[in-house]
Amino acid sequence: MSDARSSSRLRAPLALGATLLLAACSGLIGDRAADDAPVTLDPAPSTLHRLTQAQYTNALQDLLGSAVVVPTALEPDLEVDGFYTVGGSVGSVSARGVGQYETAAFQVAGQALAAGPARDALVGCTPAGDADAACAGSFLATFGRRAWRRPLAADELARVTAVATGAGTTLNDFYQGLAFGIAALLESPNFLYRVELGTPVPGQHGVFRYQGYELASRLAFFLWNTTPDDALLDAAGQGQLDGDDGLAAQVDRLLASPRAHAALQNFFSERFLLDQLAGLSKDTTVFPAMSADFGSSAREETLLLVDQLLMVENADYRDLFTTDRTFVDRKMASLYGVAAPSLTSFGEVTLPAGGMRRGVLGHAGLLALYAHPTSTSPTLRGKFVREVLLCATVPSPPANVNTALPQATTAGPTLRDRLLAHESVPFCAACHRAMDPIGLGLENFDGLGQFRLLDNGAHIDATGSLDGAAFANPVQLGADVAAHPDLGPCLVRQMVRYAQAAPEIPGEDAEIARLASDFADMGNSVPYLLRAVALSPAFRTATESP
Amino acid sequence: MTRAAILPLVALVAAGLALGGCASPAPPAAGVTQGAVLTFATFARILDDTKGIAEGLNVDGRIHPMGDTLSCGMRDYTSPEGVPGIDNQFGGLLPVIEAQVGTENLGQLLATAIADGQLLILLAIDDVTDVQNDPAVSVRLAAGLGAPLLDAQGNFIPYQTFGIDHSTAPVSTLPAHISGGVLELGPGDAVLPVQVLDAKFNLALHGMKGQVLLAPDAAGGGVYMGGTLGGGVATADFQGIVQSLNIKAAAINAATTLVALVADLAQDPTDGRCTQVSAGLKFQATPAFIAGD
Amino acid sequence: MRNRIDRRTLLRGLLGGAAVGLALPTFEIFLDAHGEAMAGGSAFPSRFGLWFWGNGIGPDPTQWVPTGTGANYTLSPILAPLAPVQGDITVVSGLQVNTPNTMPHGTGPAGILTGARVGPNGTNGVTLDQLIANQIGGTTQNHSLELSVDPVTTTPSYSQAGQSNPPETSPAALFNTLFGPTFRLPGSNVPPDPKLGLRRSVLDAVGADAKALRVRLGSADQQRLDQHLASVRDLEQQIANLQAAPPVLAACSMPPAPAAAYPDVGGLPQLSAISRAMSDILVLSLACDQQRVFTFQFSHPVNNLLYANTTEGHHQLTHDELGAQPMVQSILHTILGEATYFIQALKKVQEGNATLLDHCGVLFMTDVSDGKSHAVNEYPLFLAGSANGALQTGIHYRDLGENASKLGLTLLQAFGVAATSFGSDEGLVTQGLPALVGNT
Repeated sequence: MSDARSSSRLRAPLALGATLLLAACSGLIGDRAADDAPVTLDPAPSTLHRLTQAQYTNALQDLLGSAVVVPTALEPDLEVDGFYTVGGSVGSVSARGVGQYETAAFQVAGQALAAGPARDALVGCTPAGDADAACAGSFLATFGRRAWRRPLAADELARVTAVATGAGTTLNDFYQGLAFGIAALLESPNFLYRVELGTPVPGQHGVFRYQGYELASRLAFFLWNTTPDDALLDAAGQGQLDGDDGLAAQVDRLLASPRAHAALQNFFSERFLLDQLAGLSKDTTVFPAMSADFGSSAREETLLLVDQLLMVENADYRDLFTTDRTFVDRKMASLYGVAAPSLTSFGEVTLPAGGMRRGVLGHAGLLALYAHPTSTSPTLRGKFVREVLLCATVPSPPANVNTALPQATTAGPTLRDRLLAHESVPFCAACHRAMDPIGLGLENFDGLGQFRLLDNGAHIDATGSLDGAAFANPVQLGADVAAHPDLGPCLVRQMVRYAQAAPEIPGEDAEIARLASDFADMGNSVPYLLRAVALSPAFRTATESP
Repeated sequence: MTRAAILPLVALVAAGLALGGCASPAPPAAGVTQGAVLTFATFARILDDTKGIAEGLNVDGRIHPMGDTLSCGMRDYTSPEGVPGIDNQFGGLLPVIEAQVGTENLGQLLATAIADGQLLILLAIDDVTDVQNDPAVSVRLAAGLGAPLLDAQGNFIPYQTFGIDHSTAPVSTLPAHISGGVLELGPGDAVLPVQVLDAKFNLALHGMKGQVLLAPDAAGGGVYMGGTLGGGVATADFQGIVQSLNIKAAAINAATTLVALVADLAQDPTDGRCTQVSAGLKFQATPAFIAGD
Repeated sequence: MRNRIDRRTLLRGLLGGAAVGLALPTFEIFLDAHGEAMAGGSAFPSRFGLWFWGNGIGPDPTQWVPTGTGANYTLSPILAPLAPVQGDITVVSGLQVNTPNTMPHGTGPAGILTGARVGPNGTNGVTLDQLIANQIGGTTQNHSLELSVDPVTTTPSYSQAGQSNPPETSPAALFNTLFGPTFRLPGSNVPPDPKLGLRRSVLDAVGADAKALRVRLGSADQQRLDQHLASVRDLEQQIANLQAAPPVLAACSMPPAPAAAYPDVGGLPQLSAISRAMSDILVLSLACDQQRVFTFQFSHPVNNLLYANTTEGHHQLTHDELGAQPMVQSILHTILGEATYFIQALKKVQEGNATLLDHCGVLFMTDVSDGKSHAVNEYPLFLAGSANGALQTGIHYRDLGENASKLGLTLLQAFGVAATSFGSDEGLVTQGLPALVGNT
């Protein structure tokens, strides 16, 4: 694995597409593929993926129009290995969830079929009567191909058309009947689950290759977090995705779209568990500045910075932990003690020179999320850095252990003092030494992420070290995190996991290492990584599902 | 005077910290603006009429005993700390006005107006090089733009950003200096945008002075402020304000007459009548950013 | 098809003579859709419920364990709020979960409700309530009902390993689902909505899709799809029930509509108000026989809810508060108070010669005993209601060190599940607790 501090850094604030074009023209990527010997790869098994709530919502808005309001009461997402997207590879749908999907299907169908020019454009034909099978069938075939992400078979189309015409007859209304046809498509497992099973590769026993429509589905959900658009489905139908050039062309098209930015933000939102900011609970007697809008503003700040730095400017991923720039609205600006660039919306600011707040580890959202309702939590913050950013695993606390912290005393007033047992008792230190020192470096930010100099009246000591790299304040901690050799490879590993929407397996380690090496050589460029993962054999192949 | 870009004090405080200790702040290199938003205001009151003790400032710089013609017969008060020459005739009218307005304390009305964002007044000290002693700074008073962000206890969240509402009232600029951590501003003319209940008007304060204690916030780099403003309000202005209030006609008549009777400043040389009433305002302000600075 | 009594027939009976209270034999009215008698030959079905709160009962067992055993026992301080219903409850003390305590706050629920070891994603199998629902929930509108006062997306109820049954958390939404547009009062003559049959035609198509898909899948995915289909069948059952005429149940009526929302007051969630609103709706939903199995989660494991007069969230307090933890005890007082409200609400509903509470068996439990150490011995448990006489009430049963899985087996058998064992590994048992079995 090459040193993450590679000197060949591609650091140009160019638009995303232009950068990739530049790289392709210079032949960097192509050369690399030709020179490297193929790595051994035992890809993850294929499996059904249930759509996450975000994917479900995005898909319906793409299918029926962005004006459609999709109900939010849906089967909850399951977090597996840090991602909701990966959670779709296990589990099923509860009885309550089936009911909620049914309600949602009729809800959106009703909106889409409300009388008006939008409906006529959507349906594409004028019905001759309440049970016009030709018109219903023609619409359901087109809509069904987009909803199920593949053309419907003849019997499938006949079945769903019969539901529509039957309902149209009973209700004496073609469009009310058509709503039942739409519901049949949207309640089907063919919509709710991504059926990506792979085609057996001739001559290679147990190896499957994703092709055509299945590959289109994987690409769209990875790079856009939604259902494939018509252009991608057409390319799949014509076999273009089964060749390297056709695949690369579609990947580049997807990456050049604003949808790719939103999808990258979704990756980070899942990775950092930012959706939990909405329900964040803080004791307002300890944090009076806490308000109902804090969660959404804090989440927005992190997602805006992630997009601006990594996608728009194609900056080095490591800059995310050292940058002095961020995005604030009036609320966040007041928490950070900086002038708000706009009174009404988010705007970019440069944080004060000599200030302690740098990078995402200085974002109030993350600092407040990995904390408690009445205080900070060096352990939770350290665990976040260790597990989420550096991909280490910290074991669960053992059972039957007294976890009460001693009270603050005049001799030991700060949280650092009270956490001494974590460090001094060998039984505890074994795991806590991997987490607490990191979190203690962030103690200058209270449980709401506000900067402070004192903890319980005493000066805060923010010194520590991260795997041998010493730091004396949060700025230096951010720099040490940025320089950590596991930082880049961890992002790569998690990106592969997220892209295939399933936990990665040891057989993929070699391929992940290859991608990590290339990621470092390409200046830790996230757009490069997205493209490399999408074109990686790990993304395109599978072993048999168990 | 130039408006320097905002360079919060935290930059230099933190720079001191980065060297490894909680060192005391180093003086800033260039002049900065310390902004604040009014979070509390109440009229200066007469504390003991018999002994002549009252809150407020010596607006005209002179000490007038009872019967002094220059103050149209109105006598000056002495502050609780023993400072003579306090001009605060409006303070004597407060009980009368409060009885008319129907609330127990005018201050409560002011508190509500501030929290609602109706009485949004920004105070900025420009060109500050030393927040303890600075012989040449200037002060701006302006109407604020933006809904106040309040915390769970109803207090202003510090360091929020406001715009200046130029449409409501003009920005007032006054000369000032800081000595021993106390800001002395004026004398000068200022306009305060006031909105209380359904009354909305600009209060012109003539010969305004101010004494404001500055409390720097080490962690945030801003300055908390608290003190007194004093000045003269033209009798005609006062009467106009009273007439715009939604109270009984008889009360309006009584008030306008009373106001004319207690005028003690700005004697008109032609007819010897005083044309302004002295008044004082006690206030507190929390650090805030002023957009556009 | 059920027989129906309309008001005219009833009134004729009443006016015609004082001797006959009802125009038709009571027994016939309450036959289920298949014309079969209710469980145990009683006129009213048995209902099972799980009432759950998170974070245990504090460090001192003497605060929980009652003094004395058998029928004449003294309630403990934590159980004191239950005094008005002491005769209707049975406290079970001394039991312990024997599976390894590998997941703090997770081992307990898995141990009590499945008798098995907890898995990496939580409870690793079908829980007690769903086993009972599979037995008695097949004919009602809802297979089971899961609610939570705590606004989370999980409950201790699992229909499949690793995936909890998500709860309804809004009283208004709950009311709308159960007593909204689809609800028809007993004896009403409104014909069923034709859309109900059309919704079933959609589900038929969905079933056909699933059947075609299934053959292409590996066995792990087939199991997932089967679970999905089981959920679809629940929805079909619900629709079929809505199509049938509403059962005539004298106790069935519409509860008052709850508030549209319950925002925090003074920075504190309105837990009691939400709990009572949900309790009132649930109780009448049971009286209307919309389901016979429910999970009522007051608060979830590890919850950090804020209560009045406390300095921290509940979970933090259990770890940080010193000594006897008086603030934790005050929280428990609130929680057990709401449990009492629920039991009393069940008791207020007349069903024949008895009450709805008499026809219920509700298991009240939490996720640990001592929240600070996450212990799962001396496990806090009590039951309310006799489930049509299948369970003993009014006693304190103590069995120190006994395997807690035995309680699960006892409950399964009390509700007619033909189970001869419960649990696995260290949690496996083949006998129940005879002292808890009622004299039916």
